[in-house]
Formats: sequence, C-alpha cells, structure tokens
Amino acid sequence: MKYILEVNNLSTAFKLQSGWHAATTDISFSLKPNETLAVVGESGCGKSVTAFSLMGLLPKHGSRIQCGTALFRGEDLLTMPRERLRKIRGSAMTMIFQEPMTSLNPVLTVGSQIAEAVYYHMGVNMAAARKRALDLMDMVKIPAPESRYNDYPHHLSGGMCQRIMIAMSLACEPDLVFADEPTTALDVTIQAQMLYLLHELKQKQQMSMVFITHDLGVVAHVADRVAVMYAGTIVETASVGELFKTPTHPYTRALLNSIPRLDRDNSNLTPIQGMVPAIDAMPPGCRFFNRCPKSDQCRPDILPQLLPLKDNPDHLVRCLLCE
Amino acid sequence: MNTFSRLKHLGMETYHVFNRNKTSWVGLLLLMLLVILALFAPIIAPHNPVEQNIIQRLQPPSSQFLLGTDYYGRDVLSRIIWGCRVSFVIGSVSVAAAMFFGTLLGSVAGYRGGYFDNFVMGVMDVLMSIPTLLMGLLIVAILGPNQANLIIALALTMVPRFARIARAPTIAAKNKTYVEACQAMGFSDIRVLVVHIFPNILGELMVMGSMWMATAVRTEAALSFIGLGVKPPTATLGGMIREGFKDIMSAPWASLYPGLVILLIVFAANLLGDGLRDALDPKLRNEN
Repeated sequence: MKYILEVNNLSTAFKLQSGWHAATTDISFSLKPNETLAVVGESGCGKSVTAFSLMGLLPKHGSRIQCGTALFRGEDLLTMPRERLRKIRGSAMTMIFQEPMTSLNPVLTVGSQIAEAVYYHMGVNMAAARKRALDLMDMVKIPAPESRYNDYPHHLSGGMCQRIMIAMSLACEPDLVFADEPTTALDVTIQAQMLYLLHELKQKQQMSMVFITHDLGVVAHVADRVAVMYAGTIVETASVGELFKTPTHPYTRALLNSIPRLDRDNSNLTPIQGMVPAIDAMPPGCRFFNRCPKSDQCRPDILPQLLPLKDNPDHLVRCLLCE
Repeated sequence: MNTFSRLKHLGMETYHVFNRNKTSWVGLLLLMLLVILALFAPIIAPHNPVEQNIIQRLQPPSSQFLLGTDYYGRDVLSRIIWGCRVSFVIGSVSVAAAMFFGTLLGSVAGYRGGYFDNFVMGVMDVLMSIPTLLMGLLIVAILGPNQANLIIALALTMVPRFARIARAPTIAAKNKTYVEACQAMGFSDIRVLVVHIFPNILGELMVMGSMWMATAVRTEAALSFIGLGVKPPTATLGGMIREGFKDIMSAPWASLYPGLVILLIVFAANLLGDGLRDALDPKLRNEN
C-alpha cells in the first residue's frame, strides 16, 4: 500500500439562495503512511470543508459532494455505507478540533469522555477502558491523571483540554488524523507544546496526519508536505523544504512575502491586493487572476490544471505561467 | 459510572444556587411534608377514609375529628390524607409518562430535523391548541372515568408541552462543537442523544416537571370535581370539594380544607419549580 489516503477531484457544494455553489473544486492529494500533509490557506478557502467532506461530517441539509473519490486504505470514503464510515470514524480516522474548550461535553468528566471512545470502538469493558484512558492521559503528558480523571472540562485550561482531545482522538490508534487548526485557539507557548506533543505521538504511533492551519510558521514545524489552497482549489503542493525555498505559484509567493519576519526589514511588507472572489461569483478561469501581479502576461479565460513542474515532478502548481 | 458522576456534578452546582433562594426550600419542604403524609396514609390517618357513620355526619372540627366530618360522617382529615395519595400518584405518574414520551419525541425531532421534525411538532402544536381541561374531559369521556384513564388523559395533554421543551435545548446542543466531536468519534446517533445531549437538557425538564406536576394535580381535582375523576367512595381532593359543596353554607369544612390542600400542593410545586429554574439556569449559575 503506497498511499493511505488518495483524494481525487473532490468537489463539495453548498446550497445558497441562488442555488448550489461549489465551495471546493478539484481537490486532489495523496498521503503516504506516517506522512504529515499541511493544508494552508486563508479563512474560507475550503480547508475545513475538505476535511469535513472526507470525514462525512457535512450537514445533511444544504451540502453535497458533487464528484470525486477518496480512497482510504483502498475504500472510497465518499460512497461507502454510512454505518461503515461511522465505524472507521473515531477508530481508524479521527479529528482534532479547533476549540478545545467547546469540543468537550461540559457535563461529563474528561476521563470518562476518553474512556467512552475506547469503550465504544475497542469493545472492552468499562474498567479496561478506564485504565486505557489513564494511560492515554499519561501519554499526552497530563500530570497526575488519576486525579484529573474526574475533572470537568471547565476545571482545565485550554491547553489541557486540547491534550484531552488529542488523547480521545488517538485512543484507538488511528491511521489517519485530521487536525483542524488544533493550535489556533491556544497561546503561542502552548501552541509549541502541542506541536511538539503531536510530533512525538506521531512518531510513536505511526500515523498520517492532515494538518489544517493558516499559520505558515506552524507548517514549517510539523509538515512533510504542504498543500496551499486558494478560493476552494489547491494551487500548489510540494515538500515543505521545496515550498519555502522555491515557492512557484504567484499566490504562494505573495503569501510568503506578506509575513512579517524577525530576520528581515518589515517596513515594506507586501500585502496581496484585492479580494477573494465570492463563492457565487467564481471566475471561469484562474481564480487568482484579478489579484495576480503577473496577470498582464496571462489570460483569464483558461482554467489552469494542477500540474507537476518540469524539473521536479513532486512539485505541483496550478498556474498557466509556471508550467 | 458516567451517570453517577454526571448527576453528582449537576446536583452540586444545582444545590448551591438552590440554597441561595429560601422560598424554594419552603416549596421543597412543604411538598416533602405532603408526600410523607400521603405515603404513610395508612399509619397517619386517624380514621378509615371510606367508612360511613351517619350519626357523626357534618360534625364541626373537634378533638375527635380535627377537620370535622362530611355528609356521610367520614373524617375529613383522613380523607384529605388519602386524597393526597391519589393526587400525588396521578400527578407524578402522569408527569413522568408525559416527560418520558414528550422528551423522546421532542429530542428525536430536534436532533433529526427536517420533515420528521415538522411532522411531529405539527401534531404536537395541534394537540397543544386544545385546552388541558377540555382535552382531559374528552379523553376521560371516551375511555371512562377511573384512575388509569385519568393518568392517560393527563399524560396526553402534557406530552406536547414536554416535547416542545425538550426540542429547543436539543437543537441548541446539536449545534455545539462537542456534539460534532462526538460524531467525529463515530458515536451512533442514539448514543450522542442519550449520553451526551440528554444530561445537558435534564435541567429544563426537571423545572417543567415540577411546574406541570402542579397543573396535573389541579386538573385532576377539576375533573374529579365535575365527576369525571376517580370514582367514589375513593377519597380525592376534587371529589371531596364536590361532595361538600351542597352543604357549604352550614358545613364549609368539608369543602374548604381539601381546597386549601390543593392550593398548598400547587403552591409548593410552583415554588420548587421556580427555585429549580433559577438553580439550573446557566446564566445565574455562573454568577457565584
């Protein structure tokens, strides 16, 4: 098995007043075992929608998957029966959410919430589940798990709650974890601890991860490969070193130029001019055309495909000028 | 394991706020007192509630008959104590049944949404548009007046209320991230509903339970008063008011005291409900 997850031409649409509109179009990527793919992009570019589509967590009303396949260990996540998907979800494929404080049930103890995941998916009795939960709390470095077990989420800090969430999602030793901006709601020192913890656990448990973030600094820390998303499409994917060294798509370059850095003069940061096109007013061609600094050399009517560069087949770019 | 710690938690938080409001304690103690009276009626009641004694009829309150006797010479106090028993059984069983079925319908409708929700809540709205007493009357008239049918009638009138009350917080909880997280953990819908959502809506249901308990007791008395309740000679509070009514000018005690007891029960249950509502309101809870 070369890839654990192969997503091909995935497109998810939402129903607005003016009809169905695609929030993501032609999402294709693949993930090797034990690899971390970082999905970066600004808010609303379709990062979370992609993860929710693959997890089957989109709202039942007002959303649909228009086309595409997503092979997880050889099975298509998008067409498998709901019951089968539910079994996979939470055991072989899990998700870490953005807001740790609200992702835990406020009226259940944190320990019992981890134990419940173990009990539900591993078919063990409650005593064994409790023991496993304590081990997991120890694994995510919660001090004195025995006495924290019966605490409620509001007794714990955001960082501690996120550790509980991580313990919950790793309870059944998943092969694939979607981390949906797991560090966004935390302050910077806790962020660093979380990234370190995730990295360490990933090494220990041999799992693949799709790490959704809008923080390029985080990307540099955690990712093996990066997919840059813009307005519902992937515009560039490359290994993390390659992407930071030779960003090729104009959007990626503009993005990297707009980040303040300690090691250079920040008095002339370059913002990206213009606005992201609205979901119901997507241009037929390149979606970045109106904001692209090289638009005078390009044409707006042809939709570019995500194609490998000539000198590096592992580096894919969606741009007419970069082929 | 889960259930116990959850209830303990809910209990502790509730207790603190409940404790601040002294009137809710009055309600609770009063209700407890009446429940104990009803529960131990065979021991506490000084006389047989149904044994007639024509010689002693319409006696004013005295040391032998603390609250007097009625038209058939039965001890009013004993009949009130036994009548409380009927009222509490009917009130609590009908509220419990209505709470069970109403919560089931309302929370499933709220959780599933869509056409199922529209259909169920539409039916509930139609049921709710008929006044409680009228609805009770209708069902008792169809099924015939006895204790079981009275419970069914009262429960049916209250099911839509509980369905409404369970639905709203279920919808609110459904959109919380922790329910999404449960779904991401692959838990079945039933599990999410029972283990994760239900403890979050329990508070609202308890408040409505105690409030509607008062209404159920009141409606039962009203039905008994017009002769559609539990059949004589079983002592019921509403039935006693009716039986004493014809002698109300000469012997008011036969109707007055059972009426006062109905008032006490309704008053106590409402006080308790108000206290619980404050105690379980998250906005007030966060203030301490």
